[in-house]
Amino acid sequence: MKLFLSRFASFWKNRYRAIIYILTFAFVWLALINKKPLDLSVSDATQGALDMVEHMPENHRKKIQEQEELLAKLQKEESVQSSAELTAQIDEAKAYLERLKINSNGVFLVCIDFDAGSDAELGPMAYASIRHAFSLGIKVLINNGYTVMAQPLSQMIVDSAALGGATMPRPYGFKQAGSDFVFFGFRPNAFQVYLQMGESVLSAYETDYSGKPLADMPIMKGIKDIRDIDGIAAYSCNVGTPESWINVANTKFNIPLVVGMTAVSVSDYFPYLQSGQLIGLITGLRGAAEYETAVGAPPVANRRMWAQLYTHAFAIGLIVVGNIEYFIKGKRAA
Amino acid sequence: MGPDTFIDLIGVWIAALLTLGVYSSLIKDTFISKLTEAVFVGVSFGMSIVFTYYNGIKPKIEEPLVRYYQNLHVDYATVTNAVTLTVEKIADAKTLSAESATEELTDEIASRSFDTNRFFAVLDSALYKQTLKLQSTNDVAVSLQSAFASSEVNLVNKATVMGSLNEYFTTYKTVPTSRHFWVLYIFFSVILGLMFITRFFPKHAWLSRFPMAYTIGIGVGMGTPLSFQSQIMQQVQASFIPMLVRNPNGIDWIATAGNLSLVIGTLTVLYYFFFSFKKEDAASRGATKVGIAYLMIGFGASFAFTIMARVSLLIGRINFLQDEWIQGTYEFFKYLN
Repeated sequence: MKLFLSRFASFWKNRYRAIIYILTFAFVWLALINKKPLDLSVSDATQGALDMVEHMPENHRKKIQEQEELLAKLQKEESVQSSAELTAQIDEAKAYLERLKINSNGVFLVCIDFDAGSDAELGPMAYASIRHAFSLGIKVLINNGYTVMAQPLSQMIVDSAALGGATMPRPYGFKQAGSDFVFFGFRPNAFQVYLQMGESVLSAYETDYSGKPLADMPIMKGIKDIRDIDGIAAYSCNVGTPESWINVANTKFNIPLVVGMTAVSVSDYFPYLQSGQLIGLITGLRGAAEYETAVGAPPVANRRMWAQLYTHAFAIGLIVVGNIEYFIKGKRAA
Repeated sequence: MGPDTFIDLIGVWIAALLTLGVYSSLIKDTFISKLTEAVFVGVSFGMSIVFTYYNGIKPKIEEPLVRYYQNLHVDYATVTNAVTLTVEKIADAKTLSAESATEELTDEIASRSFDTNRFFAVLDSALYKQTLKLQSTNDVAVSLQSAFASSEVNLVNKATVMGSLNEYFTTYKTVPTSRHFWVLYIFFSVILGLMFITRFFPKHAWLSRFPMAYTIGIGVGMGTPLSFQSQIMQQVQASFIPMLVRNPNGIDWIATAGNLSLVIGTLTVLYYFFFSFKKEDAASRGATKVGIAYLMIGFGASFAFTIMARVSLLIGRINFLQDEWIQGTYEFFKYLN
C-alpha cells in the first residue's frame, strides 16, 4: 500500500498538470453533450436589460404622445403670440415627431465591441438581444466601438439574427437591411464617433459597413441624431470602453443604457448599475444564458452553462484537495 | 451551425487545427504552437489595417479629396442648366398629374403648402451627391430625379418652385469657400498623423510630440467634463443613501444592512488608501482592517469572475470543435452521400 501511494505521489507530481488539463477538457466535452437546457432564474441586473428592450415600443409610443402634446402646446402659444424663436421650436418639434413616427416601435442601438476571443461569452448575448428587438418589431442599429476586429464578427451575428438558418428558427420573418436594421461597421476613434452621433448620425456614419449610403435607407429617415435612439446596449470585452457610452449616452443625452461584459471585467460595472447610470448589466456567459432563456432564443449560452457547472464543481474540488494537502504538509512540517 | 459549402469546411478545418495548435502549448512550446500564435497576430494585425483603411482613411481622407479635385473641374453652368431642366420637368409632371386628377384630388393636392426648406434639403443632397461624381450632366438629372422621387416635396406649384430655384442659384456657390478650408483641414490632419511615424527616426522623433499632445489634449478636453460628472459626481451621489430603509410593514432590515455595508465599505476602503498620517491608534487600525476585508472580498469576486470568463472561453472553443468541426464535418459528408 505504501509503495502504491508513493508511486502514485510520484506519478501525480510529474503529471498533475496534464491530468488536470485532460480532466477539464473531459468535463467540458461531456457537459456539452447534454442538450437539455439548464433551468435558470433571471437576476435583477439581466432583468433590467430585458425590460429595456421589452418596454421599448411602449416607451416609444409615450415619447410620441409627449411630443404631440408639446407640439400642441407650442402651437397654442404661437396662436397667442408669434415669434421667430417659437416658429423654429415648432418646426423642430414637428420634424422630431415625424421622425419618431417613422420607426414607430422604437430604435435600439447595439454596440458590438468584442472580437472572436470573447465571442463565447458576448456573442450569445448580442445575438439574443438583437433577436429580442426584432421579435418586437424594433428597428436595430448596430455599430462597433473600439475593437477593429469586431466588424467581421458583428456581420455574422447580425446576418444570423436577421436571416437565421435551419438551426436558428426565428419567430419573425426575414429582416431587411436598410429597412429593419442597419450595420454601420467600425470607425476609428469611437468616443469622437459617439459624440458626433449626438450631432448627426449621418455625419458620423455616411455609409453602412458595405459602403451603401445611409441617407437613402428608409430606416434612416427616422433617425437624425442620438436623441432618436430609444435604448443602447454596449457589449464589450475591454474594461474602460463602455465608459464612453456611459459618458455620452447616459450623462450627456440621458438615453437608457445596458452593458454586457465578459465575466472577467464585469465587477467594475456594478457601481454604475447601483447608481442607476446603467439600467441593466449582463454578466458573462451566465447573463447571456439568463437573457436567452427569458426571451426563448435558441439555447447557445444556456447549453454552455452545464459545462460551467461541471468545471466549477471540478475547480472547487481541486481547491478543497489543495487545501487538504496544504494542511497535511503544514502539520508534517511542524 | 456546421459548414454549408466546401470552402466553409476548409475554413472550419483550418480553425479547428489552429485551435488544437494553440492548445498544444499546454504540453510544451512547439513549432505548431508558435506558428499558430504568429498566424493569429499576423492575421489580426493585417485585417486591422485593412478595416482601418476602408472605414477610416478611405471615407474620411481619400474620398473627400477625390471629390474636391473633381469639383474643381466642373462646368457649373452646365450643372445649373441640368438642375433647372430636371426640376422643371418634375414640376411639370406634378402639375399635369394634378390637373388631370379628379377635382377632389386636385383640391387635396392644392391644399398642401410648398415646403421650401424640404425642397432645398433635397436639392442640396442631390447636388452634393452628383457634383461629386460629375461624369456628365445626365448623372445630375438622374440623381435629382431619384432624390425627388424618394422625398415628400410637393412640386405642384410650379411658379413658386422655379422662383425658389432661381433664388437658390443666385446664392449657390459652385465650390463653397468652406470646402477649401475643409481640404486644408484634411491635409493638416494627415500631416499630423504622419508625424507619429517620425518616432522611427531618432533625429526627428521630437516631431511626434505634436500629434501626441494634440490627441491627448482633445481626449482630455472632451472627456474630462463628462467623466467627472459620470464617474465622480454621480457615483458620490449614489453613495448618499438612507441608513435606515423603511417599507410599509416597518423597517426593511435586508436593505438597511445592504446600505450600511455599502457606506461602511466605501468609508473604510477610502480610509485604507489615506496615507497622509500614520494609523497607529486602535480605531484607525480597526478601520484599516475592515477596509482590507472589503478589498479582499472585492478581489475574490473579481478572481472568481476571471475563472468563470476563462472557462467560458474554453467552453466556446470545445463547443466549436464538437459542433462545427466533428459533427459539422460528419453531417457535411453524410449530406453529400
